[in-house]
Amino acid sequence: MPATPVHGPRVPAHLSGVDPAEADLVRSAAAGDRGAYARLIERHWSRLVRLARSVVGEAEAEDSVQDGLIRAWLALPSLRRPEAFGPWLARVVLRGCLRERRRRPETVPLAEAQEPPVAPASDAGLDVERLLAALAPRQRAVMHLTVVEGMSDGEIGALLEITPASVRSHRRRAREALTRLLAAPRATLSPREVFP
Amino acid sequence: MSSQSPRRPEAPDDRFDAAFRSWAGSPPRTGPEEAAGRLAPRLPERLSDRRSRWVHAARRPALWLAAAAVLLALSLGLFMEPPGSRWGRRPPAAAAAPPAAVPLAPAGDVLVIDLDPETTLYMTLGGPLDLEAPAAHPREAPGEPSGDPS
Repeated sequence: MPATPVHGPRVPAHLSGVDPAEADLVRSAAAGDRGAYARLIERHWSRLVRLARSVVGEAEAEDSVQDGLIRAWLALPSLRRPEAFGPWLARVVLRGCLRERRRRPETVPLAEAQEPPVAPASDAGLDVERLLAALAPRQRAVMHLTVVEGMSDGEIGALLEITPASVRSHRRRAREALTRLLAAPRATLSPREVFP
Repeated sequence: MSSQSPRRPEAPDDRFDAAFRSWAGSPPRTGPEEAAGRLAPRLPERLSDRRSRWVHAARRPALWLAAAAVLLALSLGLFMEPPGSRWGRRPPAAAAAPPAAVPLAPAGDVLVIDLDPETTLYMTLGGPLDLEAPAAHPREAPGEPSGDPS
Protein backbone atom coordinates (compact mmCIF):
# COMPACT_ATOMS: atom_id res chain seq x y z
CA MET A 1 0.00 0.00 0.00
CA PRO A 2 1.64 3.28 -0.93
CA ALA A 3 2.25 5.50 1.98
CA THR A 4 0.45 8.79 2.09
CA PRO A 5 2.88 11.52 2.93
CA VAL A 6 1.71 14.11 5.38
CA HIS A 7 2.34 17.50 3.85
CA GLY A 8 1.89 20.68 5.72
CA PRO A 9 0.61 23.61 3.71
CA ARG A 10 3.85 25.54 4.18
CA VAL A 11 6.27 22.84 3.13
CA PRO A 12 6.68 22.82 -0.62
CA ALA A 13 9.68 20.53 -0.79
CA HIS A 14 9.93 16.91 0.07
CA LEU A 15 12.40 16.00 2.78
CA SER A 16 14.40 14.06 0.25
CA GLY A 17 13.98 16.36 -2.68
CA VAL A 18 15.48 19.62 -3.81
CA ASP A 19 13.66 22.92 -4.13
CA PRO A 20 15.20 25.44 -6.53
CA ALA A 21 12.66 28.04 -5.41
CA GLU A 22 14.13 28.33 -1.95
CA ALA A 23 17.74 28.40 -3.10
CA ASP A 24 17.77 32.21 -3.02
CA LEU A 25 16.53 32.21 0.56
CA VAL A 26 19.23 29.71 1.47
CA ARG A 27 21.93 31.83 -0.17
CA SER A 28 20.75 34.92 1.70
CA ALA A 29 20.66 33.01 4.97
CA ALA A 30 24.13 31.62 4.33
CA ALA A 31 25.32 35.20 3.83
CA GLY A 32 23.96 36.09 7.29
CA ASP A 33 20.38 37.20 6.56
CA ARG A 34 18.43 36.15 9.65
CA GLY A 35 15.12 37.13 8.08
CA ALA A 36 15.70 34.71 5.24
CA TYR A 37 16.56 31.97 7.70
CA ALA A 38 13.39 32.73 9.68
CA ARG A 39 11.38 32.21 6.49
CA LEU A 40 13.15 28.91 5.91
CA ILE A 41 12.32 27.87 9.47
CA GLU A 42 8.65 28.64 8.81
CA ARG A 43 8.69 26.47 5.71
CA HIS A 44 10.32 23.44 7.35
CA TRP A 45 9.25 23.66 10.97
CA SER A 46 6.16 21.44 10.95
CA ARG A 47 7.75 18.64 8.99
CA LEU A 48 10.86 18.63 11.14
CA VAL A 49 8.86 18.59 14.37
CA ARG A 50 6.85 15.62 13.10
CA LEU A 51 10.04 13.79 12.25
CA ALA A 52 11.63 14.60 15.61
CA ARG A 53 8.46 13.64 17.44
CA SER A 54 8.71 10.14 16.00
CA VAL A 55 12.35 9.80 17.06
CA VAL A 56 12.58 11.52 20.45
CA GLY A 57 8.94 11.79 21.48
CA GLU A 58 6.51 14.64 21.82
CA ALA A 59 8.09 16.17 24.91
CA GLU A 60 11.52 16.77 23.40
CA ALA A 61 10.67 17.15 19.73
CA GLU A 62 10.50 20.93 19.50
CA ASP A 63 13.62 21.45 21.61
CA SER A 64 15.53 18.99 19.45
CA VAL A 65 14.42 20.74 16.28
CA GLN A 66 15.41 24.13 17.67
CA ASP A 67 18.87 22.81 18.56
CA GLY A 68 19.17 21.35 15.08
CA LEU A 69 18.11 24.62 13.48
CA ILE A 70 20.78 26.51 15.42
CA ARG A 71 23.41 23.98 14.37
CA ALA A 72 22.21 24.25 10.79
CA TRP A 73 22.41 28.05 10.94
CA LEU A 74 26.04 27.84 12.01
CA ALA A 75 26.89 25.26 9.36
CA LEU A 76 24.87 26.84 6.56
CA PRO A 77 27.80 28.61 4.84
CA SER A 78 29.34 25.19 4.24
CA LEU A 79 26.29 23.92 2.34
CA ARG A 80 27.46 23.54 -1.24
CA ARG A 81 24.07 22.98 -2.93
CA PRO A 82 21.52 25.52 -1.65
CA GLU A 83 18.71 23.79 -3.56
CA ALA A 84 19.26 20.67 -1.43
CA PHE A 85 18.64 22.58 1.78
CA GLY A 86 15.58 20.51 2.81
CA PRO A 87 17.28 17.09 2.97
CA TRP A 88 20.39 18.64 4.47
CA LEU A 89 18.39 20.32 7.22
CA ALA A 90 16.48 17.10 7.94
CA ARG A 91 19.79 15.27 8.20
CA VAL A 92 21.17 17.82 10.67
CA VAL A 93 18.05 17.61 12.83
CA LEU A 94 17.89 13.81 12.64
CA ARG A 95 21.53 13.47 13.57
CA GLY A 96 20.91 15.65 16.61
CA CYS A 97 17.87 13.59 17.61
CA LEU A 98 19.78 10.32 17.33
CA ARG A 99 22.70 11.76 19.29
CA GLU A 100 20.31 12.99 21.95
CA ARG A 101 18.82 9.51 22.23
CA ARG A 102 22.25 7.93 22.58
CA ARG A 103 23.22 10.46 25.25
CA ARG A 104 19.95 10.09 27.14
CA PRO A 105 18.68 6.54 26.69
CA GLU A 106 15.03 5.69 26.53
CA THR A 107 13.26 6.13 29.83
CA VAL A 108 9.93 4.57 28.89
CA PRO A 109 10.07 0.95 29.97
CA LEU A 110 8.81 -1.64 27.59
CA ALA A 111 6.21 -2.84 30.07
CA GLU A 112 4.58 0.54 29.85
CA ALA A 113 4.70 0.43 26.10
CA GLN A 114 2.69 -2.78 26.17
CA GLU A 115 -0.05 -1.44 28.33
CA PRO A 116 -3.17 -0.34 26.53
CA PRO A 117 -3.41 3.40 26.22
CA VAL A 118 -5.52 5.12 28.80
CA ALA A 119 -6.53 7.73 26.28
CA PRO A 120 -6.18 6.54 22.70
CA ALA A 121 -3.92 8.96 20.91
CA SER A 122 -4.89 8.02 17.38
CA ASP A 123 -7.83 7.08 15.25
CA ALA A 124 -6.92 3.41 15.35
CA GLY A 125 -6.98 3.38 19.12
CA LEU A 126 -3.24 2.80 19.49
CA ASP A 127 -0.89 4.83 21.58
CA VAL A 128 1.64 5.32 18.84
CA GLU A 129 4.16 7.18 20.96
CA ARG A 130 4.34 4.36 23.46
CA LEU A 131 4.67 1.79 20.72
CA LEU A 132 7.45 3.80 19.09
CA ALA A 133 9.20 4.05 22.45
CA ALA A 134 9.75 0.30 22.28
CA LEU A 135 11.78 0.69 19.06
CA ALA A 136 15.37 1.77 18.63
CA PRO A 137 15.70 5.45 17.62
CA ARG A 138 16.98 4.62 14.15
CA GLN A 139 14.09 2.19 13.64
CA ARG A 140 11.68 4.96 14.57
CA ALA A 141 13.28 7.26 12.04
CA VAL A 142 13.06 4.61 9.33
CA MET A 143 9.43 3.94 10.17
CA HIS A 144 8.56 7.63 10.08
CA LEU A 145 10.28 8.23 6.76
CA THR A 146 8.68 5.12 5.29
CA VAL A 147 5.14 5.33 6.61
CA VAL A 148 4.61 9.05 7.05
CA GLU A 149 6.88 10.56 4.40
CA GLY A 150 6.60 7.72 1.90
CA MET A 151 10.29 7.86 1.04
CA SER A 152 12.20 5.15 -0.79
CA ASP A 153 14.92 3.07 0.81
CA GLY A 154 17.56 4.97 -1.14
CA GLU A 155 16.22 8.32 -0.01
CA ILE A 156 15.99 7.18 3.59
CA GLY A 157 19.50 5.76 3.39
CA ALA A 158 20.83 9.05 2.07
CA LEU A 159 19.13 10.92 4.89
CA LEU A 160 20.32 8.58 7.62
CA GLU A 161 23.68 7.99 5.97
CA ILE A 162 23.21 4.23 5.86
CA THR A 163 22.79 1.77 2.99
CA PRO A 164 19.38 0.85 1.58
CA ALA A 165 19.98 -2.68 2.86
CA SER A 166 20.38 -1.31 6.37
CA VAL A 167 17.16 0.65 5.91
CA ARG A 168 15.34 -2.57 5.02
CA SER A 169 16.91 -4.33 7.98
CA HIS A 170 15.84 -1.59 10.41
CA ARG A 171 12.31 -1.59 9.00
CA ARG A 172 12.02 -5.37 9.17
CA ARG A 173 13.13 -5.42 12.80
CA ALA A 174 10.76 -2.57 13.65
CA ARG A 175 7.87 -4.38 11.96
CA GLU A 176 8.66 -7.59 13.81
CA ALA A 177 8.77 -5.79 17.15
CA LEU A 178 5.53 -3.94 16.45
CA THR A 179 3.83 -7.13 15.34
CA ARG A 180 4.85 -8.80 18.58
CA LEU A 181 3.67 -5.85 20.63
CA LEU A 182 0.35 -5.61 18.88
CA ALA A 183 -0.35 -9.35 18.78
CA ALA A 184 0.82 -10.41 22.21
CA PRO A 185 -1.43 -10.39 25.23
CA ARG A 186 -0.63 -7.68 27.70
CA ALA A 187 2.56 -8.01 29.80
CA THR A 188 3.69 -11.30 28.32
CA LEU A 189 6.64 -10.01 26.31
CA SER A 190 10.01 -9.27 27.74
CA PRO A 191 12.33 -6.72 26.16
CA ARG A 192 14.48 -9.61 24.90
CA GLU A 193 11.52 -10.94 22.94
CA VAL A 194 10.79 -7.58 21.37
CA PHE A 195 14.46 -7.00 20.50
CA PRO A 196 15.74 -10.48 19.64
CA MET B 1 8.14 6.27 -5.82
CA SER B 2 8.97 3.87 -3.07
CA SER B 3 11.54 1.19 -3.82
CA GLN B 4 10.85 -0.85 -0.75
CA SER B 5 9.93 -4.44 -1.39
CA PRO B 6 6.22 -5.15 -1.34
CA ARG B 7 5.34 -6.77 1.91
CA ARG B 8 2.56 -9.09 2.74
CA PRO B 9 -0.41 -7.09 3.97
CA GLU B 10 -0.69 -7.66 7.65
CA ALA B 11 -3.45 -6.36 9.77
CA PRO B 12 -1.27 -5.20 12.69
CA ASP B 13 1.02 -3.32 10.32
CA ASP B 14 -1.82 -1.61 8.52
CA ARG B 15 -3.43 -0.74 11.79
CA PHE B 16 -0.21 0.69 13.12
CA ASP B 17 0.53 2.57 9.89
CA ALA B 18 -2.86 4.24 9.91
CA ALA B 19 -2.49 5.20 13.54
CA PHE B 20 1.06 6.37 12.94
CA ARG B 21 0.04 8.65 10.07
CA SER B 22 -2.80 10.07 12.06
CA TRP B 23 -0.56 10.69 15.09
CA ALA B 24 2.28 12.17 13.05
CA GLY B 25 -0.12 14.41 11.14
CA SER B 26 -1.11 16.42 14.16
CA PRO B 27 0.38 19.92 14.05
CA PRO B 28 3.20 20.95 16.38
CA ARG B 29 2.34 22.76 19.57
CA THR B 30 4.29 25.79 18.39
CA GLY B 31 3.28 27.24 15.05
CA PRO B 32 5.89 27.91 12.33
CA GLU B 33 5.73 31.71 12.61
CA GLU B 34 5.97 31.61 16.38
CA ALA B 35 8.86 29.15 16.23
CA ALA B 36 10.74 31.28 13.71
CA GLY B 37 10.14 34.42 15.75
CA ARG B 38 11.31 32.71 18.91
CA LEU B 39 14.37 31.18 17.34
CA ALA B 40 15.66 34.14 15.31
CA PRO B 41 17.02 36.09 18.34
CA ARG B 42 18.71 32.93 19.62
CA LEU B 43 20.75 32.45 16.47
CA PRO B 44 24.39 32.96 17.39
CA GLU B 45 26.66 35.19 15.39
CA ARG B 46 28.86 33.39 12.92
CA LEU B 47 32.54 34.23 12.62
CA SER B 48 32.17 34.38 8.85
CA ASP B 49 29.35 36.91 9.22
CA ARG B 50 31.52 39.13 11.37
CA ARG B 51 34.25 39.06 8.72
CA SER B 52 31.83 39.71 5.89
CA ARG B 53 30.43 42.70 7.77
CA TRP B 54 33.89 44.18 7.83
CA VAL B 55 34.32 43.51 4.15
CA HIS B 56 30.97 45.14 3.51
CA ALA B 57 31.85 48.13 5.67
CA ALA B 58 35.16 48.51 3.90
CA ARG B 59 33.29 49.27 0.74
CA ARG B 60 31.74 52.39 2.23
CA PRO B 61 33.30 55.64 0.98
CA ALA B 62 33.23 57.16 4.45
CA LEU B 63 35.58 54.49 5.70
CA TRP B 64 37.91 55.06 2.77
CA LEU B 65 37.89 58.80 3.47
CA ALA B 66 38.70 58.25 7.12
CA ALA B 67 41.52 55.88 6.23
CA ALA B 68 42.93 58.42 3.76
CA ALA B 69 42.79 61.19 6.38
CA VAL B 70 44.63 59.04 8.90
CA LEU B 71 47.31 58.19 6.35
CA LEU B 72 47.70 61.84 5.40
CA ALA B 73 48.04 62.88 9.04
CA LEU B 74 50.64 60.20 9.62
CA SER B 75 52.70 61.15 6.60
CA LEU B 76 52.52 64.88 7.41
CA GLY B 77 53.59 64.23 10.95
CA LEU B 78 56.49 62.24 9.64
CA PHE B 79 57.81 64.94 7.30
CA MET B 80 57.17 67.88 9.59
CA GLU B 81 59.53 66.64 12.26
CA PRO B 82 63.07 68.00 12.25
CA PRO B 83 65.45 65.86 10.25
CA GLY B 84 67.27 63.30 12.27
CA SER B 85 64.97 63.62 15.24
CA ARG B 86 63.04 60.44 14.61
CA TRP B 87 63.64 58.67 11.35
CA GLY B 88 66.50 60.61 9.81
CA ARG B 89 70.20 59.76 10.06
CA ARG B 90 71.87 60.69 13.29
CA PRO B 91 75.53 61.82 13.45
CA PRO B 92 77.73 58.86 14.34
CA ALA B 93 78.42 58.63 18.03
CA ALA B 94 82.15 57.94 17.44
CA ALA B 95 82.60 61.32 15.84
CA ALA B 96 81.59 63.15 18.97
CA ALA B 97 84.42 64.44 21.12
CA PRO B 98 84.90 62.69 24.46
CA PRO B 99 83.74 64.68 27.41
CA ALA B 100 86.47 66.69 29.02
CA ALA B 101 85.65 65.31 32.46
CA VAL B 102 87.12 61.88 31.69
CA PRO B 103 90.60 61.76 33.32
CA LEU B 104 93.48 60.64 31.18
CA ALA B 105 96.37 58.72 32.64
CA PRO B 106 99.69 60.51 32.37
CA ALA B 107 102.18 59.15 29.86
CA GLY B 108 104.72 56.72 31.32
CA ASP B 109 102.37 55.00 33.77
CA VAL B 110 102.52 51.20 33.71
CA LEU B 111 99.38 49.21 33.64
CA VAL B 112 99.76 45.74 35.23
CA ILE B 113 97.18 43.08 34.42
CA ASP B 114 97.33 39.55 35.89
CA LEU B 115 96.01 37.37 33.06
CA ASP B 116 96.35 34.27 35.27
CA PRO B 117 98.37 33.43 38.38
CA GLU B 118 101.52 32.79 36.31
CA THR B 119 101.15 35.41 33.62
CA THR B 120 101.28 39.14 34.12
CA LEU B 121 100.81 41.70 31.38
CA TYR B 122 102.64 45.00 31.63
CA MET B 123 101.50 47.91 29.49
CA THR B 124 103.30 51.23 29.50
CA LEU B 125 101.09 54.14 28.64
CA GLY B 126 102.50 56.75 26.39
CA GLY B 127 101.77 59.23 23.64
CA PRO B 128 102.68 58.81 20.01
CA LEU B 129 105.93 60.62 20.58
CA ASP B 130 107.04 57.98 23.12
CA LEU B 131 106.89 55.12 20.63
CA GLU B 132 110.38 55.75 19.41
CA ALA B 133 111.85 55.62 22.93
CA PRO B 134 109.84 53.15 25.01
CA ALA B 135 110.18 53.38 28.72
CA ALA B 136 112.18 50.70 30.45
CA HIS B 137 110.28 47.96 32.23
CA PRO B 138 110.21 48.81 35.90
CA ARG B 139 111.02 45.24 37.00
CA GLU B 140 113.72 44.59 34.41
CA ALA B 141 117.23 45.47 35.30
CA PRO B 142 119.51 46.44 32.40
CA GLY B 143 121.18 43.40 30.88
CA GLU B 144 118.62 40.85 32.18
CA PRO B 145 116.47 38.83 29.72
CA SER B 146 112.98 40.10 29.41
CA GLY B 147 109.86 37.94 29.65
CA ASP B 148 108.33 35.77 32.24
CA PRO B 149 110.57 35.47 35.31
CA SER B 150 109.55 31.86 35.86
